[in-house]
Amino acid sequence: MLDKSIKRSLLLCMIASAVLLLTSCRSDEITYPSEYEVLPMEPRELSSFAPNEPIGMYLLNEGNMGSNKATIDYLDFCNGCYIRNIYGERNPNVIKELGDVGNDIQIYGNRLYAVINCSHKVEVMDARTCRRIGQVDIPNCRYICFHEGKAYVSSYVGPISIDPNAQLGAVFEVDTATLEITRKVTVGYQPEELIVNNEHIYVVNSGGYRAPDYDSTMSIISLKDFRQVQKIPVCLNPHRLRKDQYNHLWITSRGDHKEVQPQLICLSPATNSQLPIANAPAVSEMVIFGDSMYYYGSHWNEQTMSNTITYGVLNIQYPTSNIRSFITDKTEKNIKIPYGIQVNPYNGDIYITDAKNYVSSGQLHCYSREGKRKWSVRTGDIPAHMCFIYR
Amino acid sequence: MNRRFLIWLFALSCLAAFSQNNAADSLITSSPHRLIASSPDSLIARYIDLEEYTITARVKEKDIIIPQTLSGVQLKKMNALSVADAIRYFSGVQIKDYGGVGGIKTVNIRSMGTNHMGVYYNGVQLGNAQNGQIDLGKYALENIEEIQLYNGQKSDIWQSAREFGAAGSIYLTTRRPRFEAGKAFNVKAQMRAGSFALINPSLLFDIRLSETMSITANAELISSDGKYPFRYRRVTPSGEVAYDTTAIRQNGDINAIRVEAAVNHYYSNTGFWKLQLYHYNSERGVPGAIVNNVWRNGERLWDRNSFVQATWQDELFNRWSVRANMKYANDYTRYINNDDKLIRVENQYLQQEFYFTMAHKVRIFDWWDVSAAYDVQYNQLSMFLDAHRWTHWLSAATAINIKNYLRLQASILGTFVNDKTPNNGEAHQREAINVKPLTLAKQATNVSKANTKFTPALFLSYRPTQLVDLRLNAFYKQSYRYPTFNDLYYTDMGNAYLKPELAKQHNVGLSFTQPFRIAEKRGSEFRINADYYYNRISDKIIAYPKGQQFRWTMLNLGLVKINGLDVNAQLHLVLPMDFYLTAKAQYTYQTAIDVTDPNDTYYGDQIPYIPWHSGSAVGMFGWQNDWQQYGLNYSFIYVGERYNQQENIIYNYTQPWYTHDLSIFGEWNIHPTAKRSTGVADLPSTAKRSISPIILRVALDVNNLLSQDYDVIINYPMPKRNYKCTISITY
Repeated sequence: MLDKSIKRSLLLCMIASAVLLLTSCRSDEITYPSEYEVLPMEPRELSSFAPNEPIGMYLLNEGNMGSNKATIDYLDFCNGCYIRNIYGERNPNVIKELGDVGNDIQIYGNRLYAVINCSHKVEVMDARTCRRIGQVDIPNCRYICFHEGKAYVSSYVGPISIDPNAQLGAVFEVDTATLEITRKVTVGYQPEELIVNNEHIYVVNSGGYRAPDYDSTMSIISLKDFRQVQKIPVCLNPHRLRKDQYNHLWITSRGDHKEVQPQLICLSPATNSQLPIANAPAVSEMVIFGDSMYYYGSHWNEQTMSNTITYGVLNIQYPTSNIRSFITDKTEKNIKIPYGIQVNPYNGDIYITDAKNYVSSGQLHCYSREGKRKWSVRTGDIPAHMCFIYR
Repeated sequence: MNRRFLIWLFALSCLAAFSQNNAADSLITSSPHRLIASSPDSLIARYIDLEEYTITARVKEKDIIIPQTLSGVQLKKMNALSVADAIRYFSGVQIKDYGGVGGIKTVNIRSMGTNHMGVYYNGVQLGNAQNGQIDLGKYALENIEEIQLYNGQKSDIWQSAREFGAAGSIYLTTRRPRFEAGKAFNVKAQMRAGSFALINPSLLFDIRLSETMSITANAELISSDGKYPFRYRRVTPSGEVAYDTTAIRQNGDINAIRVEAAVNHYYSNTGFWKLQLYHYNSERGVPGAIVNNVWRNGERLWDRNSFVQATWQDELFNRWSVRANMKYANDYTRYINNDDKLIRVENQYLQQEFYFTMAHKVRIFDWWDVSAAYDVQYNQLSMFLDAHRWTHWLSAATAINIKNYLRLQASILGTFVNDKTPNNGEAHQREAINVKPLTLAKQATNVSKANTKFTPALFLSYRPTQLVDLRLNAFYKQSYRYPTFNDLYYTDMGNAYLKPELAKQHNVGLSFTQPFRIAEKRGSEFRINADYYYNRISDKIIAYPKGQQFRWTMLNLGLVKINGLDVNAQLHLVLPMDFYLTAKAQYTYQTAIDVTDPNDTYYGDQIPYIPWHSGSAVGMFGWQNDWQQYGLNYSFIYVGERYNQQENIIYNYTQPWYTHDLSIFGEWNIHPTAKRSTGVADLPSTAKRSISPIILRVALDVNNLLSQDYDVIINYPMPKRNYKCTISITY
């Protein structure tokens, strides 16, 4: 009886250990490789690109908070391919990779700037190679813009405040040559996008952390003495801020997700007067390209528990008339959560990203200016921000 | 045959001894076995030994399907810090551990999610109406005598209605004070110290008030700075080191105090009542995820959990068993975010719970039992958001035992939930802890909703022959996971129209137990269980994006199919020359596949953090004589490769981890008269009564022996090799 039992148990132990051995042990953690995917595009010589024709597009994937999965993808028009996670491959020595929650990406001069919100930094890279040059530590940074060798970054965190519910945000000035912070100015609550116009910085204050007491102002900062000179009311919970070729400012707001609907307003900075737009569409993100504004709107309906998603293009001179969808082949139903939009200024191709459920790979779709889908490709998690690079 | 009879006599006598303290003395002295009779020195340890190998074996006859159990001596030998550390050795269990002494540790069973797991403290479920997560790291083993894990439900039908409700159940049973003859009190003082500046003193008192009544009290302090080095290292595909960095974990400190007290009155052979107080208070740092450029976080958490619990049970007219439980719990949580890089946050929550249950069992015939139970519970959450919930449970069950060949248990549970958010569900807060805090607003729905569900369960056990202990088991069970207050009402994220999540479990299994003897020594045993299961989770509650920037809602969208195989085996050898050896091994293979929507990129992929392979092995080797005991324990845990997000792609791949833990201990009777009496087997019982042992125990533990750098949860690094030393004195 004893022998039998012991034999049996030995056999069992052997099986168990064999199984455990077979199911691979831990090995070295390998740096994240890039993945290359060929797109239906003709490869072209670099010299064949016009100076105002993009040779590529960087795409910043936000990554879910805490996952440290912000990544940069590269759409290569020369080789006709899509490169996932180019940053990881080009910068294997960066500890813990690019960071947590990418929030903005821009090119200025020969450099690529990525604002990494929860890593509290602006990553500075060479625009051609995507190799790291350095970083600027800015707490809770959101968006970036440039003017005369300086970068301006909005940040949720301004001065330490006594009242935890009333923490004002700030705009930081960074010297792009030295990557040092040179100046800082306090603005409204949770500032978002910003632009430079006529020796002033305009930044919209969302107050997103203060729901339901959202902010609804735009701060105007004088570049000369870096001081907030004016704070004007715009719309509740503003987010996007863009300038068109007529020097008008376009602002979108998210509303309060309840009674106050998202808004689109146009503002003349000369007089700070709003040009009324009746029945303006709900815009989540837009690109202004000449007289056209390409946008998508994504609006949750509490009654139907579903998203109302719209894709449109409007003429900024006559914003309420003749709005049409820029997707004409009915493929919009394949996009679950539109999360970023960009328009190729040379050929009018429209790029739109799909964030899906925020915790899995997204997709990048390319549409022709006629509204026909040309191709789609898998991206990183939460593809959101795109910028072009030129020859 | 004669020896077998003696064992039974032994078991029975011990059972009687435990229920009637006054009888213990004579029974021990009349016992034929030297183990007990002549070794007052290690009596306490052996009492539990006995209980484990004989008493529980008999009690288990009630169980249709034998649970996985860790009790008494085994628990003590493991020397684990918390319940969570011990539970890792059960098969079918996945643990989420955020690292360190203060890191949250939750478990789920058979891939079904933490909220499907019921954790019962002396028969009453530990609750967290807010988010449904029970942090098992908070429950120390100091006062725990037994941990049992049941797949499905406890197979004794005499239980409260609520106990029929969970998909898997963990039972934590606290120590029951036992007194040697003539002893009026027991005392144990223990000091534990170790890595991460761990200091953990504890004190335990039992006082005998009368032959049947006793008081027990237990207090402990846990303090740790939570600072441990961790390492992240990556190499390039060509083998060069890309980066290799070691840092110290910050803001993982904890200061906690736990106080428990109980009055027990075992007034007859069948009846007792018990009143229990529990208080836990802690302050800890929330160390947070390690991401690029962020090496410390500023979140702090205060927890205060208090409850008072009363139990009464008796058997009337020899056929009718009654049990009643009452509980009031008051839990307070405060969370602040002090990080100057982030928006400051301060949240406070207050949860209250009232619970009452009454369970009856009637033995109609010797082979047929029926039971019925009614439970009612009131939950209230205030400060952060105001919500309250009434829940009623009603159960009926029957158990049939056909000549010990076929055992059958069937139960049906009715659950009636009534939720209300009186303040229009307004959350007073601005920010969610785990949600990207961008646009959170008030929930303006005024909701009052009722929900009624019925869930059946059927358990079968067939023993083809009485000659060997081989059983074929099967069960089918349905259970619901009710949405928590967070799921329903969380600031702008909750969805008040959620349905409960339904789990259907199917299980077939085999168990075989064979006791044997080595060189005429009894007590050796071999046991093996194997189970195959198929679970289907429908209406799974998942966070679904609302469309605008990071606004989520909870929806009943998910569908997950789980197939698994659990095997566990245990060998206990009582060897000649007073040596013993226990070996346990368990292995789990499972697939948990998301089949929600074929259009998802993760359709057909393994769900996050569920490894295909996992297992553990434990070996305990020791030697003991009348006044001393030495032991060496080794344990190994393996969790195989898995993915940290829904898609099974390279960017979400998480490596296996496995740790080796080693501990040695020694136990000596340091009573001045101990040595003199050693070996005097036939000392008169009166003399023995006077020499209650004083036991000094010293244990040394090394955890993560090979100093593996691993994350259980991505970006939450676990400690490297760490040490612990325990010294205790028991009288």
